Amino acid sequence: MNPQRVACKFFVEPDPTAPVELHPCIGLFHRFIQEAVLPGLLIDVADYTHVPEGPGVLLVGHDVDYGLDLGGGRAGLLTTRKRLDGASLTDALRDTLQRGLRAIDAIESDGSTGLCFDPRAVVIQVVDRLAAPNDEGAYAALADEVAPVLAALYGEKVEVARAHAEDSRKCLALRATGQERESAADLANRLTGGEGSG
Amino acid sequence: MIQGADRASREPQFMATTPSSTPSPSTWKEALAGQMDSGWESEIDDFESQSVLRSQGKLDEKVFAETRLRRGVYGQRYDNGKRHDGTAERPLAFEDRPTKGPDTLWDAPGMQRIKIPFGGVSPEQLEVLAALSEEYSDGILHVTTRQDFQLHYIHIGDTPDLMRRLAAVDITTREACGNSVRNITACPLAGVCKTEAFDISPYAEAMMRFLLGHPDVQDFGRKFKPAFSGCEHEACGLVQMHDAGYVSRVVDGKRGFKVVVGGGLGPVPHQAKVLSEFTPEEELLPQTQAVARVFARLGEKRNRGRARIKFLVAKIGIEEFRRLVEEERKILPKDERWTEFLKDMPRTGGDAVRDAASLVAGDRQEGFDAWLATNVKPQRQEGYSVVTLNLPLGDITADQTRALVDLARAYCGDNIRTTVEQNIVLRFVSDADLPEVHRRLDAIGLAAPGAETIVDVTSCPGTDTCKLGIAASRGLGAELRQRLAAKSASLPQAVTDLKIKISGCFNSCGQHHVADIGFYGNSRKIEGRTVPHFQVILGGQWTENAGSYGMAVGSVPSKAIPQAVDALTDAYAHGREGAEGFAAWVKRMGKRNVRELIKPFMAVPPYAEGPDFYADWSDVREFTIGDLGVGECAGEVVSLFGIEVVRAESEAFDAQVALDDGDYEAAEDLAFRAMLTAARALVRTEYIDVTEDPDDIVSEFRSRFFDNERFFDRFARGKFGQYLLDRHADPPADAGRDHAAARVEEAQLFIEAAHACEVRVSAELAAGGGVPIENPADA
Ligand code: HEM
Ligand code: SF4
Repeated sequence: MNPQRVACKFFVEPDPTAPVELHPCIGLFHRFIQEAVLPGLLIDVADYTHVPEGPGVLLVGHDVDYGLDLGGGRAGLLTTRKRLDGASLTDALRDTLQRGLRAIDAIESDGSTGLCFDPRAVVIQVVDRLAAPNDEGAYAALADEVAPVLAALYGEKVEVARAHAEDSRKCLALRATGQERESAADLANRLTGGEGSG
Repeated sequence: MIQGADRASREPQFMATTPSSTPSPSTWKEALAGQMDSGWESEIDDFESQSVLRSQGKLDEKVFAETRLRRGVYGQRYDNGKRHDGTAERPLAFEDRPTKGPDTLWDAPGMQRIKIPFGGVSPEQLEVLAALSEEYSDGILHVTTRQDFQLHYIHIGDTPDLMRRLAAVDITTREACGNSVRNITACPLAGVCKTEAFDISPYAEAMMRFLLGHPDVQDFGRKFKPAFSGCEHEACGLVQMHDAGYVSRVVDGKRGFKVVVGGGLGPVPHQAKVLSEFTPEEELLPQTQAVARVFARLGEKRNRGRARIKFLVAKIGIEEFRRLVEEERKILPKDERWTEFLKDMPRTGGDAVRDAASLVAGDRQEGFDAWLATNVKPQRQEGYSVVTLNLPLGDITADQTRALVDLARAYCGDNIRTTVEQNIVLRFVSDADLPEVHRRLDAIGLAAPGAETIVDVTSCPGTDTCKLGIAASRGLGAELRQRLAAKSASLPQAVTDLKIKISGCFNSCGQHHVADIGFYGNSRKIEGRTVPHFQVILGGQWTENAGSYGMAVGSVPSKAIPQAVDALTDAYAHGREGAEGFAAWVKRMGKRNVRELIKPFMAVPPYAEGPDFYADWSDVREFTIGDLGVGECAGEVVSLFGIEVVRAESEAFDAQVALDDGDYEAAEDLAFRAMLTAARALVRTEYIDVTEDPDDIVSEFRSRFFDNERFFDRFARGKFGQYLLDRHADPPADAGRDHAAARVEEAQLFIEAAHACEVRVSAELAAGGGVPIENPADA
């Protein structure tokens, strides 16, 4: 599978369904641009806080977008890796997860938004209906292909389940849940250089 | 939504969103081969090849810019690779690649406009649009003020596939931009409205098919926007502000249209003039073709600021224009398509999927009554209603769109339309189903009440994504919407009924001229810092097809606009006489008195006391206009002069308003400023760093353009230039009516002369002569 886009979403805690005040994220994301807090080319901040269950506040980058996203009625950090142009799914996913975790770490360390995230669970989406239609067959292939990355992240006991199965028009997606509570920074480090990917 | 018999063979397959054939196709081109109109398919292939050529540097950047704009692929803010991050302007380090247009970097995100003729869109099309928003954009579908959709943050490399996926569901982006016929808009109630003569949608659809790519519409100097309306007195299609407008009429049992031409918004708004009181239906297309030919032949080509058809009609007069169109009509070679569609009228409305039935008492969700009062309109067809989704700033998510599609399939079928108020309407909803429809809309966040009321604020993209944006129209729109919604229950009905429309600059894409309360973004320098402001425009008319435009009353800092709105609405609610409408109240009050109402909010506190005033809504960066780019509002890139001179026009317009209003001093001053702005625009074509000091501008203007007679024309010689020099040398001690009127006239003539001079100078430059631009940065 060589999708053009993959995304991962880590949810806020304690309750991702509780209302969140996203306006402070606008300032935070502008600061991330000014201070180049996250790697890669960051371009601008888009405010969608007026949209119910929408993209919230979006930090638009060249290769990656970071959104404090309210999609599905669950607040979280949605990290979207764009225009992968032939990269393997595992490499793309490893990179996306790592960037997402580093961004969480940066948001929590900054502290100004008061947002905390639970890195123990993540929803992964393959945002490319040509490469990955949302059906059983593609899901089986996806689960197989990403198993090593998820094992590297959460260990062998990771639980994996299909998400978005209720609507074939949505993107192919899965939910992975780890057992242990670890920090976002530690989890991100585990994905470096492909260690543990066996 | 296009379901005519000729298109039945191209009915979208689910393939269009989810390919599943075996072996799996590896590209959308393969996956959708044969599912698109063959003409559209090969055009998209050509566009893709041109993109490849350009990306290899083998095609001229201007040629490519023209090609992509014609396909609705726009630039977006910061695509020149520079952005002020609040502390300093910084380069955006995109890879070094050939540009996609002058000063437009290849990898910079852009905007895709998607044409939706008369706003008609089907569930299948919405499904594809939702998928595209997720795969290529930011998950948001944005409804524009001309019934289109826009996707933002699009990479140029994704556009051919995006277009293919749209073409497979019978949507084209062709001529969504460029100097051509833009989307044909129409009243969203067409076909179900009680006051219409007949349903104009099939005519709008036929015209769109006829004109799309037609050779007679390829050579315009500027864009051409048609609109259809079912009746004259409602807002309907807003035909009076369009380049061409068509109002349905039945005379002696025969269908036809009242046709108007030469309207348009922009910095200098014009009301359309009547071309024909009754054009029979079979003459609709040939007459429009004749109009197009006259416009292509006689419309201004070089001077973009004068190229819309409104300037041609104003220049030669409607009688002469009519005569030319009639002459042209006589010599048009006959075309079967003129009348073919009448025999097999395109089907533009789907069938109701539920039986008509009355709304009965019963289980209703909280909020139903308020929603029913503002978002539901009874149709002409007994037992059915039109339901309006009050989209915040025209935005809807992919998830919401899919859920809406499910709801539509169950309750209204294909009967979905976008509106110029940036909403979506569902038609043919059975009244009995309204409680359930409300419940389901509420579950997906689409049951906000207050559609088409004061809370339903319209806004152009503004500084969020538009290169020409001066102030954050969307930021202000969101703020006003939220504040007004919070107190909507306590607002008097007269206030609830008002409309607010916001543009990020004077170009008026947000249609501020036709709102009760309109705003356009500008800025003011205060103690060396730039402060975002909005010019307040009051009393525009929405009904009578946008029958008159509002009046500028003064600029208020962005952050004080909510208070200014409160002051205006309070004063109106308490001061209106009987059932007096807002426009009539503004007129009766007069500009001076209305201005007094907003005056307390015009002051800007020093930075130390109110730093908040120095940043815009939805932003935390200190405000700057340094990010203003060169806009792509048409087929070619707008010159710096083009942008700056419209500012002069806007000032001249304000001067005229002040004069009409008896404010002579302001009129005189504004007219002088308009001349200065135009002179500066001209000077800046050669000397970019000229200051804003009137002495500098006049001195540079004199030495560069006046003393050497470059500003002179054959007949008037230096007369118009002299106006500026005289006024600068000798300001009037006390401007009375005559002085002011003369100055307003002079300003208009001076601006015309500046336009003409710029055309001559750029022609000289193109021919290899002329003066090189001095830019110390390049030195
Ligand atoms: C000098 C350049 C421009 C001028 C004079 C201009 C003027 C206008 C006017 C008068 C309207 C429409 C109101 C109407 O007729 O219904 C309009 C529509 C619109 N404009 Fe602009 N505009 C310019 C550039 C831009 C740019 C750069 C953008 C942002 C990318 C933009 C975004 C829009 C949008 C979203 C609409 C509604 C459009 C549609 O669906 O066709 N405009 N413009
Ligand atoms: S009005 Fe100005 S800011 Fe708004 S979209 Fe048009 S050109 Fe851009």
